[in-house]
Amino acid sequence: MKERSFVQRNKRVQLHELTDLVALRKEEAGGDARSGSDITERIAPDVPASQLRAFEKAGWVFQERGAAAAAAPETAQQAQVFVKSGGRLALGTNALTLQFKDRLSEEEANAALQPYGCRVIESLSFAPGLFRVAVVDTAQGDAMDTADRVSNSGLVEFAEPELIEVTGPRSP
Amino acid sequence: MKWTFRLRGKDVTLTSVQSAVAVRPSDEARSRAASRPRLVRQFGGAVRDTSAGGRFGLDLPARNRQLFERAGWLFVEPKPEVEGAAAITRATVADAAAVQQVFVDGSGNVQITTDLLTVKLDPEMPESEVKQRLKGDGLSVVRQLRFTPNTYEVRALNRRPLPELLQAVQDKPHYLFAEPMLLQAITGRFRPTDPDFGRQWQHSNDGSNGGTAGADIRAEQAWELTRGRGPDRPVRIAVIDNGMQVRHPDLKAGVVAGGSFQSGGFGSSTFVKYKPGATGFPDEAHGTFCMGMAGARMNNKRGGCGAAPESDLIAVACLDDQVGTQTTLARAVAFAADPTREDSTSTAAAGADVIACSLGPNGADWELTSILDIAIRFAANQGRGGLGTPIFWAASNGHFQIERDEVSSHPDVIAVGRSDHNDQADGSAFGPKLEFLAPGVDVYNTTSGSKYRFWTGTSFAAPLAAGVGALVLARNPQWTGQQVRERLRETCDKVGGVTYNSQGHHNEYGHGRVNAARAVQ
Repeated sequence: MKERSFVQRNKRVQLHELTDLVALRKEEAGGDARSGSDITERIAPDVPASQLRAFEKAGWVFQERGAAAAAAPETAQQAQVFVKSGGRLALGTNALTLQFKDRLSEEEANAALQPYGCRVIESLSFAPGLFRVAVVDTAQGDAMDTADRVSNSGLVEFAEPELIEVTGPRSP
Repeated sequence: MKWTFRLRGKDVTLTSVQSAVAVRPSDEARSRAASRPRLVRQFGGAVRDTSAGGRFGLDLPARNRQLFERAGWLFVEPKPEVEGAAAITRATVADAAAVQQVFVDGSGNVQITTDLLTVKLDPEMPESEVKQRLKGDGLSVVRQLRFTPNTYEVRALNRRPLPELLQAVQDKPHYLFAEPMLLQAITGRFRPTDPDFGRQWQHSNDGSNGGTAGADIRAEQAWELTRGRGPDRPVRIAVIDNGMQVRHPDLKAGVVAGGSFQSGGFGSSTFVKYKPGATGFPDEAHGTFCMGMAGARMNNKRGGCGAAPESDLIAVACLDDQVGTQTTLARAVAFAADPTREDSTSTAAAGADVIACSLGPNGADWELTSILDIAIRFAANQGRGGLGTPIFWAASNGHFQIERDEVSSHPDVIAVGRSDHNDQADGSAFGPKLEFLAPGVDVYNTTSGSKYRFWTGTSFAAPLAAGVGALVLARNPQWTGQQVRERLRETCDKVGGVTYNSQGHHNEYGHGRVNAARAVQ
């Protein structure tokens, strides 16, 4: 387990990374892939079973990092597994959302982000300078590390990692 | 001018409509006049409507005005002699059968004065003494009301201001009561014919389902004025959820547009435009129920109905597998307010007037990302051509401080908690950012599979309140989102038997339970 953090709306969000686990899309991990038998127990002390079930229902499986590497096809993407406050599971992605201080074109954005190993996935049109970007060069760190570096660059209003979380109905 | 008098032991205050008096022309004058404007000119000027909502003078509802006019009354800006006559009992004006003052009550209903009072004297008092007392007090008997002893309809004998006469009579100890006879529009209460309407205590709670009569949003009274169709077009409500049965028989006639954000697995999502009638839209029971709470159709021989049954509905599905990123949710909010943000073939004018969302974790904490913050601010400030789109969001279920949920406690979000059929708060997140409650416990509405069910959650209180917001906009289409929010807040019923603070707020009840009837007045 590793303590991690990132800045979101000028506040530092703390979370734990379960470094020995990864999440894979079931279709990428192999049709009969299942979460490791002891995974629930290992995640469960902090995480309600309903969280795990929601991810599994959405097509995710949780596996040991080493076992996943050995069993899954090379092309299978692996998501980092985090636990947020209140026992909420979150999966890491390679994407950030960010807003440049200046109104940049997609081409200009790609040029500005190139030193940070990022490229634009799409622009979001409901505010100027708003982009989803992918971290394509992970040599200098994952999306959370990159978000910190881009945030400190002076180029952006914010840069935040995208996390996959349970966002379901508000009925108990 | 305010007029306060006692009615069944309680003070009632009416506000006079200074700019208008009510005239009932004589039959002769009516037959003589070549046109209605000519008839009006005999007594004064025409009263002008002062807003698009068809009100005039002191917030006089157009529907009330129409009912009185149908009954033979004219509302006029009076000539001085007509105005003077209206203020005095037994005063007469040429060609008028009656000239009276116009008041409105606390609910905005018109009340027209008469020269008549109902009075009740001591039941043991002999009839001869009763008549002597009445005469001594300047009253003549019009008729005895024989269903209870010593109760009479009486009229002033002399010219006198009605409030002064009433006060003098009410001060006399030999009257058990003395009350003015005021003309009111008393119409049949509108009641939908939907077969399951009786199960929908959220709209009209008569106490027969175990709850408390009146613990509801007063929907029937509101529907007498509007059901969600504005003067030019129906108000559009966007319901954002994991999915909904857009072809549900009680919804499909209302669904005019939509879109879904279909998950691509690793956080990305693809927008797919929805055209009414198309198949393949994500279908989730929760979203179907939410959409029904806002705008299920009325009087279609099916199920019940929603709060704004003549509104248009925009279906927005995102995170269909209930797992995803806030970026997708942000795109959904922005799309609801302005479809061009995802669909270049659409127009900004086709955006929602009201947004309802009931998604989120049920625990205490939900950190708001910058991207969702921007989308919410975009909708709330730039939606509706800059008037702002009010955004109703379900507060978390559970006894948590609402501030820990940064989405529903966002300054531009109206956080809705749930109340039960006894008007009690029922375990929603609490705190200063809780806006108000709406019924959300064992409420009845549409669910997937073209079915209906009872369900509980703040999830269902939020779209119900959004439907009420749509009713307010139907009456006031030029209002800003903030005005809608304030209107709903200030017209809440202070339920729960708790003490609200000086701003009218209570941490567990917000500003109270939504009251649609008061909100649309």
